[in-house]
Amino acid sequence: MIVGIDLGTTNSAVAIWRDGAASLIPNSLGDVLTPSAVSMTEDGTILVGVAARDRQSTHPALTATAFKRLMGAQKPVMLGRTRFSAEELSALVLRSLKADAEAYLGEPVESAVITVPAYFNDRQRKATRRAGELAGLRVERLLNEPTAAALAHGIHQREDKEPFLVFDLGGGTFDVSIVEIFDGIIEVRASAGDNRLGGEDFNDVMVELVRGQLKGVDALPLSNSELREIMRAAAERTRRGLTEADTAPFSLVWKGREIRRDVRADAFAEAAAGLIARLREPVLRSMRDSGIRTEQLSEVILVGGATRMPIVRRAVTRMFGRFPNASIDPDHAVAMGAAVQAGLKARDSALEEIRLTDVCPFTLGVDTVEFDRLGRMHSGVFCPIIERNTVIPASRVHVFSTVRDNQPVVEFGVYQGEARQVDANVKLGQLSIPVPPRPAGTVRIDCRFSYDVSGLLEVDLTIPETGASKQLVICDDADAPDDAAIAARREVLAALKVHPREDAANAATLARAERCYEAFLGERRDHIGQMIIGFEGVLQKQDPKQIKEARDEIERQLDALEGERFL
Amino acid sequence: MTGEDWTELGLAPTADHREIRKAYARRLKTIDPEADPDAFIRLRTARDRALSQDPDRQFAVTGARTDAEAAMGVGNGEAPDADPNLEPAADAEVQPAAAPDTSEEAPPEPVLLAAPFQRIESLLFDPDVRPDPIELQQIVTEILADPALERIDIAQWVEGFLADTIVRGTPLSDPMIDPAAAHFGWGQDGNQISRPPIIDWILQRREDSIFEAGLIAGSPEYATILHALRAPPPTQLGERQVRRQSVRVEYLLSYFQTLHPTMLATLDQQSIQFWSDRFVAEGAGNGFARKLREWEKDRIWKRGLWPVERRGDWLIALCIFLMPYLFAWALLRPGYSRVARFVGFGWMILVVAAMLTNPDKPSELKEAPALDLERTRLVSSEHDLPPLLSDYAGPELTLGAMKTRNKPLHDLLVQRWTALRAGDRRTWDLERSVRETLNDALGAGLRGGEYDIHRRFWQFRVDRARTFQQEDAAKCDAFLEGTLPGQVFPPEIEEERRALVREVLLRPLSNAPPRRTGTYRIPGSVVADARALSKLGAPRFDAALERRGTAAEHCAVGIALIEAAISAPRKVGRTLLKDMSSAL
Repeated sequence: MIVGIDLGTTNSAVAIWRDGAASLIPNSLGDVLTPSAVSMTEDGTILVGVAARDRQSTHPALTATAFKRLMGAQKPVMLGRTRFSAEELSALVLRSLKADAEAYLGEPVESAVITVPAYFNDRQRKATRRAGELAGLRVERLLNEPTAAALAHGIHQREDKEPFLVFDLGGGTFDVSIVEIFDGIIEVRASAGDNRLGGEDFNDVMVELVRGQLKGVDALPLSNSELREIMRAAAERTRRGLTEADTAPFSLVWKGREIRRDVRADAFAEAAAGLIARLREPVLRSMRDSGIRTEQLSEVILVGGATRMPIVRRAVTRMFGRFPNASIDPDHAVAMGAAVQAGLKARDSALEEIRLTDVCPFTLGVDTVEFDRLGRMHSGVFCPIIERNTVIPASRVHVFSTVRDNQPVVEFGVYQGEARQVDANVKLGQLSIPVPPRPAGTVRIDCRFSYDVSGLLEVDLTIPETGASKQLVICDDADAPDDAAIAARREVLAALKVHPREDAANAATLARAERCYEAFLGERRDHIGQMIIGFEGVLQKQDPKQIKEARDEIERQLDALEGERFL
Repeated sequence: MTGEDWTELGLAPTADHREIRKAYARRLKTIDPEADPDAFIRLRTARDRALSQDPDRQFAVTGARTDAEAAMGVGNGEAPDADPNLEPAADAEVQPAAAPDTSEEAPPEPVLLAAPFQRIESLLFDPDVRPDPIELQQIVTEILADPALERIDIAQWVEGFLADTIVRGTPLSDPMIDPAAAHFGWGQDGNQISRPPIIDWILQRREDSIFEAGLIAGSPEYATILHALRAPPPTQLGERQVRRQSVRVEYLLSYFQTLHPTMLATLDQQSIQFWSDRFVAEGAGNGFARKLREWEKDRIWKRGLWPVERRGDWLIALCIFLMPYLFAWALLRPGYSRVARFVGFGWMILVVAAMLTNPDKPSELKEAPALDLERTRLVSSEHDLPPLLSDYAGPELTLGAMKTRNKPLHDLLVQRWTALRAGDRRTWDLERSVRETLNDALGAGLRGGEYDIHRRFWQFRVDRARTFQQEDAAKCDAFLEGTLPGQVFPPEIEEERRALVREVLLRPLSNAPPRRTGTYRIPGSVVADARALSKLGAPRFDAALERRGTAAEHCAVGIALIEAAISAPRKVGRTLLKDMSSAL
């Protein structure tokens, strides 16, 4: 069984293609979205999902969220005393999703299609693949998120569709893709994005907005990490509140004081104007690259939870002069699209008439030496080999030569980006090949870039003259663990105690209650405290029916206090 | 586009976009790109080639200068009056939608005010209006601050308009560059690879305008020459004055060509032509005149662009000044013979004369980079000719290909190169000569070509005329009549043109009929077809045939005639197309 997984910055989801349709799989709490959060309890057990996210406010040193932004970087995250890498945390989330899928389907799940932002670079993609392997999943394909959303929308129509634009603003990343459907072929024309723009950034803006209003005794310093987390969670709630009303309260409890301010929608819009302006650049770039004008677009599709914000919707409407389409729930579209791709991979008969082609969103090339018109020599010039928005799989060859007489070895730095100087581009790796001694410019070296459907790069160097053709695989300067290392790490992860699935609901309720305890004062706090003690007592009894009743009661009370739990 | 590609697509050669894409879709469903990437790559390449040779793709052109390609998004900087949706309404404000939706109002349609754009046009191009750089900058800033620019299509249109206007209106439009570049992020780092060439040109122009300001301020001699070059050619100047200026003008032009190419676009083209002819004429003069010229050239080149500073060595100057007086005083005292006085005064006069005519010693040159004359020398035919061929018809037109397939033309080019090398001409002379040779060869090849070449060529002309027809019927008419100056080809058509040119130039020509203008007979059947194709009534058609209708009608008739000729049966069409091509 191949499943489709949306591994998001804030929330993740898993879906399956069955009976001619994509459907989301609920987790042990009955929700289709699982927060991408991992927390460790005092006795070393791992919690994933809502429980972990709620523990973010109460035990920030033991919890990690938004680690998708760290994928591909080598920064470790500390949960208490234990060190995790972003891949390992993602693997824990993937494992939880895998368990949910197996429980729902009643059969083992071994492979998955995992989505990544279209603008993820090679390193980040490889890290995502490793995370899947660490979770015990064979990663059939890495699918770009806007493409997945396009699939989810496009699968319903078999007739041709004029180009449409997918506007995917998630928790941490922003992607734009222009997609066309013709004769059952779903073709991505162009892709662009910003890896550092998402709902989290809007949270930061909200926090800054409120902090600016608080002075003196009420001032909230940024230095305390626990306080930062609490502020972030409060900002998230306020942001959601603004989706429905024109003002929303920003409230938190810190050091025994309750701080509450009302935030107006227009004040927030003004503060977030810079972020909104950043949304234009990828849109312009993808439109320019595809050569499509706004009047040729049939519709604009909104994907990603952050597009629920009224300011984002207004901005999109103003940009295109028409109302965007959000007919599929923005939080679900990507996972459903991943399920469709999984179905395609499994060659489901209902999908026989569909094909999907995607593009690579960056220009890939090497650094070379160039002579200008005055004969001066410039080094570190970027020579593109695969232009951006080339359909993948793609394979291009470029011929290079030596610069000095009797040069012993030629070094190739592999870069990705759009700048003319390689210093401004992202370096993916380094290759070198020895060459026979010859006068400068007489040795020919063929450099072939092969980009596969998952967006992973392979570089091959050959020297036709000597007849010898060497195949070199690009290798990160940082570690690129081999299979043995991955297996070892998987063992380590497997050895971690994970909170049993059946208990997930209880853990979530407890975590929520604890968070509410911290968030309220006085009488209400006492009341919650008593509920917690009562619930823990019931848990000891191990009677499922009683436990369920107690749990429902507590949830009801907490809903009354703070409004419904949101995802 | 090869036969293999069509096999790959499983399609007979066609120009129909939809057919090609359908065939691609059909084939794509039979292969799995993941399992067999090579098969997919082959299929995709075949599709791309098939689509790019298709003349149905519409592409607007800005009418910008030759160097600047219009590549700003599709509709690529479309000419301002072409798009009815974006026609700026005169003095209209933001209007709400006419018919509100059942559920909610449609988003308001912002409209740009037309006045600022018209003002820019008149400031730059109207000879009666005095251009005011401050006003220009202000207007541009105003336009960019308009909230209507939030709409992407409006923003793109404005960007295209500004880029196009800057290029057309250079150098008067230089003050517009900074606000536009800042707003649209033209000079931003990290995005240079896929920057459209027009933007590169504009950024280069910005650098060059700074250089120009420096030149005008710092070098009055060359500043005058620059102004003269911006005016029509100096036909009234006397021969001697022209000769005196000639070397300096040559230096300035080659300086621009090497270091500040956008400056050339700001000069009057006829002036440049005048001077180029002049250089050739002077280079062909007698040996002594040439030697003198070469000597002067070296002198001017060494001297550089900036005027020399006088060395303030007042003391020595004073002594030198006073010396004749001392001498005279000494000589006029009694005791000197007449011969001695004669010699003394004569010597003094000589010294004074020498002092007055001696050029001052050049001080340190002001930061002008040394222009290496070596760089513009001709090196070898294999080195110099290929870039010129590639400029003419794309990189596929290689010297080797020409040598194997059209040796006479190859030999002719090498002969021209050798002649210029022997005369120690420079690269710009070679450019002109090669271009002329290739133009002649192309004309001969088209005149003497086969039926299929003729058909392709005339099809190409129809496509080109159609793109004009969409913009401006008068241009289309002029194009068909052959009177439209300075043509620029949009990229799609350019590729077609190049392919055609390569085809013609790489075919050996057995007999090239001479150029023949004059009338030829069009068979009645072709005229009838054309009448039907043109969709004008018979009377209007006939009137337009005799050039008595409107420009749009002439244009439509011209296109219809060519199309009828192309699709006529072979027997008829062959002779007709040959006749039509005999005037090329």
